[in-house]
Amino acid sequence: MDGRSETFSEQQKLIVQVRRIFFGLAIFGLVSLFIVWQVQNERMERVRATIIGSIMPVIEWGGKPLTYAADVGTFIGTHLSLAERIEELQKETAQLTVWRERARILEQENARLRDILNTSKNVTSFVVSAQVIADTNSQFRFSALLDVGSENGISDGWAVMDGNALAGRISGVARKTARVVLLIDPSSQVPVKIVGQNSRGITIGDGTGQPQLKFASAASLIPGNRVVTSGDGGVFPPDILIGNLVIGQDQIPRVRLQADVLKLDYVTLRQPDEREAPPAADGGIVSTSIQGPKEP
Amino acid sequence: MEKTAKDWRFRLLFALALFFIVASIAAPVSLLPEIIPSPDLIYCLAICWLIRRPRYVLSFTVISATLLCELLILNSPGLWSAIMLLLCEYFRLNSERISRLPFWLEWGVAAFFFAIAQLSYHVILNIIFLPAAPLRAIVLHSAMTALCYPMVVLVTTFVFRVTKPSLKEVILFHTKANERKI
Repeated sequence: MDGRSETFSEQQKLIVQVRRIFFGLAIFGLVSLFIVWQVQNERMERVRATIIGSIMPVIEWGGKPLTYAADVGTFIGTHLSLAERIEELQKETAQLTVWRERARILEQENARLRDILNTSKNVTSFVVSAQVIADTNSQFRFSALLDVGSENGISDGWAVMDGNALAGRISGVARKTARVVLLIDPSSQVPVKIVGQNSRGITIGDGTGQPQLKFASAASLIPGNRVVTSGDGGVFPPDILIGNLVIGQDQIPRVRLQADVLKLDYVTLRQPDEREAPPAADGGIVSTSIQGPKEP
Repeated sequence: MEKTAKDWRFRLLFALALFFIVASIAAPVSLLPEIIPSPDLIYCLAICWLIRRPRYVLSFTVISATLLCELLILNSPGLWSAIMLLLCEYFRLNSERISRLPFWLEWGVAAFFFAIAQLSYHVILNIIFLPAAPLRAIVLHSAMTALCYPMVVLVTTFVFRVTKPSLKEVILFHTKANERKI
């Protein structure tokens, strides 16, 4: 009996020892991963993009129940307000028809004037549309994953727009996915100018819904002024709408974003440099999202 | 033999639950209208199970989930996972003691350790000049996690049927252990 109980406790002791060793190794491994990530940041970010790109299909599948439930919710919500929506849309359509006619006239006029001036046709910047496949926000980092990647000619630095307003910048591209760092992320800094004020500044995300506006001259800080990208530094094309200036209770100038960055769905991506289009550019516009609006 | 099969069934269940938590974090559905930090459900689930049945919780599973989460959001991965591993180990070693506490104290312990862990995590980030959350976000995040803990416990108890070992089980376990010795 004595011998048996001794082996039993010895076995237990061994298990405890092995556990301890594994625990130490794991802690060491995780901390060194963290340190390596700081030292070799660029390379590791590429690793991150690759890993995320390869496991995203599985994760997307796992999130299906939730997305489905949310879809049902919106579906019911839309049906409840269907009559109002139809009326609204009819009004909008009526207005848009007028605008379409006007646009046609302007287009013709534009072409005629170009002809007179004998200029070459302006290179339109390459535009890609994409769908958000994952919200990857934490309490202090704000980003999202898109369903386009290097396959579609996307690379770091592209501007991501929600409608006509800037939402963020591409950072981290895998073959089929790309990450957009939203304007409210602390690492997001965008050179901007205030329309009509000839004043420049930088918006810096600080984790709240409205990024701070820094380095702008105090005289130009009138709430309601429109803030657009200045194009300085060459990351973003100039004159993309960002939002309106607001001054909060803490007297810090902030920008109320035009883009609804926390509820992005379909976005368009714009190339930073307008000169060269990627080889995939065929006619200039590519629609990659499955349910996205098709070009006529 | 039968016992280990049951263990592995529950370990698999735990891994699946964590997987769906990570997937729903990533799903492009904004459940909260404003920027309110979402609760850390991985922590809640891991701690809740560790207090009840530490055998079912493999630290490897928890760390995989937190690492995946860290990769998905823009964190530099590793640090939070290491902290989670420390927390897991602490709760595993003290599981028996904590499981004897009344629920409100268990809740308090879980919330307290999360807040401390979050705080130290962000202090470290601040020290090495990485983007860290403002204090307000940390407090909100901890509060949300604390609020969600009872719900996770409810789901664990009534859906997963993972409960604290009853007195009968404890006695049975000890008599069996004694039998084995003799």
